[in-house]
Amino acid sequence: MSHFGRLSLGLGLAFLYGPILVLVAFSFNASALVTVWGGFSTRWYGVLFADGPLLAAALVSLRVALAAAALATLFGTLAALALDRGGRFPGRSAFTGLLYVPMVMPEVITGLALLLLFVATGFERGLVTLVVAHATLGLGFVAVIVGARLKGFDRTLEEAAADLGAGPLRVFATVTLPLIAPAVAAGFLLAFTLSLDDLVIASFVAGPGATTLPMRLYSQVRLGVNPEINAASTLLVGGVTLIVLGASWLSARGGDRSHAGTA
Amino acid sequence: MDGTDPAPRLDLEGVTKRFGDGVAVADVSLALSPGEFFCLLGPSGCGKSTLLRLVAGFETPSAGLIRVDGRDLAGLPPHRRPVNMMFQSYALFPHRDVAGNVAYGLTNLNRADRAGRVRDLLARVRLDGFGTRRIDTLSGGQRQRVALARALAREPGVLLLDEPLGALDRGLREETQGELRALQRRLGITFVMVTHAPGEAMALADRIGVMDRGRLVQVGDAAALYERPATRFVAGLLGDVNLIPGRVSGRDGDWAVVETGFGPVRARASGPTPGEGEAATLVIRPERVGLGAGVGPAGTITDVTFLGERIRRQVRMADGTLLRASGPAGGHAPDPHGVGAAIRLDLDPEACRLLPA
Repeated sequence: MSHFGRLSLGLGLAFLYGPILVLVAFSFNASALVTVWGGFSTRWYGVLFADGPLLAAALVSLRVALAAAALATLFGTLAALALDRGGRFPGRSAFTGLLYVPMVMPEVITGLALLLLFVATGFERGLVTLVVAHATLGLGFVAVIVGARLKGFDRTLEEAAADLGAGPLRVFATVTLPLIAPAVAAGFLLAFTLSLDDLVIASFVAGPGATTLPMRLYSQVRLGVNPEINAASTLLVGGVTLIVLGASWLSARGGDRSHAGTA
Repeated sequence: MDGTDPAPRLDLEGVTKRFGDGVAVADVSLALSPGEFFCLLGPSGCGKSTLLRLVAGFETPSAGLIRVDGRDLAGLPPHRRPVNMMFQSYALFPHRDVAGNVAYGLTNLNRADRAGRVRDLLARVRLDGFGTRRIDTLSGGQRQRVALARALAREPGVLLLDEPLGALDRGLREETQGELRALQRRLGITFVMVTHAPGEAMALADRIGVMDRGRLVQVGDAAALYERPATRFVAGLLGDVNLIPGRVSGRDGDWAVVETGFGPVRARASGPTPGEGEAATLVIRPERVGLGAGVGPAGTITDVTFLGERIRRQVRMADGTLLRASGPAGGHAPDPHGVGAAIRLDLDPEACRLLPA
């Protein structure tokens, strides 16, 4: 790599991750003042784990993320299967396009639209509405990831299974699903992190008593940033990073195995 | 293998498959006996694989009947058909080990019987002890044998094999040919094998069906196809051949005289062949072109190629026609038929065949 290339890469990485590194560093600040370094300490992590409301919000976030990711994975996988296997049914390309829309739609719009829907239908806002909203958000991502996997899928494997006496359900359960499982799992993890991260949509659709971790952090920041928030954010960043790494590892590993059976 | 077998194992009647405007398989009729080894031979795109997929149930015929042991297979999905297929790519399940692949079709057995059956099958293809191996740790030849064992597990009445040796390298292919033939003899299962390699078909099959652009153009054993090809396509497919244009100048039952550029040649004319006065093709294999000093058509040797066990010579006839003649390489030094030698052709009428132009 040339000097110029190395320099641009360094600048790019610094631009992307510099702020996060500052945040992580200050989470270990002994001082209560956010911008003044007072020596290394883990005291804010102690404060964090004694903060009842914050931990409650984290629990809400985890529960919502799990449920929303499960729903998004189920329906996203079904959508991907329908698009890949359904043949040329009318409206196929329109349906494909519609799956992408929630991914690029400004979250404010998605949140507002869902809020209007829930209000109009008299749906009481709370955990359920949060789960539904986040499932909508993640569904498209799951469908795209699983769809890519299905596109590269060697259909003769399914034919071989049918040839050996397996009916359509057994073929799906014993051949198709195990082979797309890495993509399904990657989709689940991505939907999980999307839900965990979301602040905008959650602010619209969450009801009283359903405060997520990002909502809680945001409301605390409005009262002033303190190192406890830095500590909480550091943990969040660490968790999300691990999950995303896991998702990409699953996709990569799956890619290798799908071709192992063909000579 | 003639018409005396009362009940065919696999019976195709007017089977046709159209894709859009194209015809992949055109009006194929065929009856295979129990225990027969049949090869479908033809270039890629001739419809032979499609025919296999029609029998397996992955495609639905546009017209025609497919029966196994007299039972019509129309409307039966692949998993209910009494046939099994070995795929060209092997289609082994990458997420199952060798035993898991072989056992996949054995759902009717309990756990212990299944394990025993898998052991037997693996032994039969010389893969004892490979049961717990992952598919991606196997060589090409080993994968091929796993695929074979898996396809045989359900003891199908008919086994369909799509280019089963295509992915193997040459040495392994010849060795595997022998094993495949021996296995088929021992099991007595009807094999229908698709191949584009004439040598493979001739070495393995009881009968060969040659396909050309969707049609089954000729069915017969290797010798019949080689000696008595029905079309120029079949003649050229099964080995080197001289195709000489001419015109029929006389017919006498199964015999004809063809006027070629270098004179009249007597030839066998059986089946639907051109009548007197019509354009025709004279077919003769290079090894049946004799070189002598008799009274046959005169020519000059223009090229000699030493091929090891054989020597191939090119002969230029008086009218410029080029023929190939091949004979065993012998220790006749000096070679009386070197480049430039004037010779007379010795054409055995039994070896010359008349075909449509």
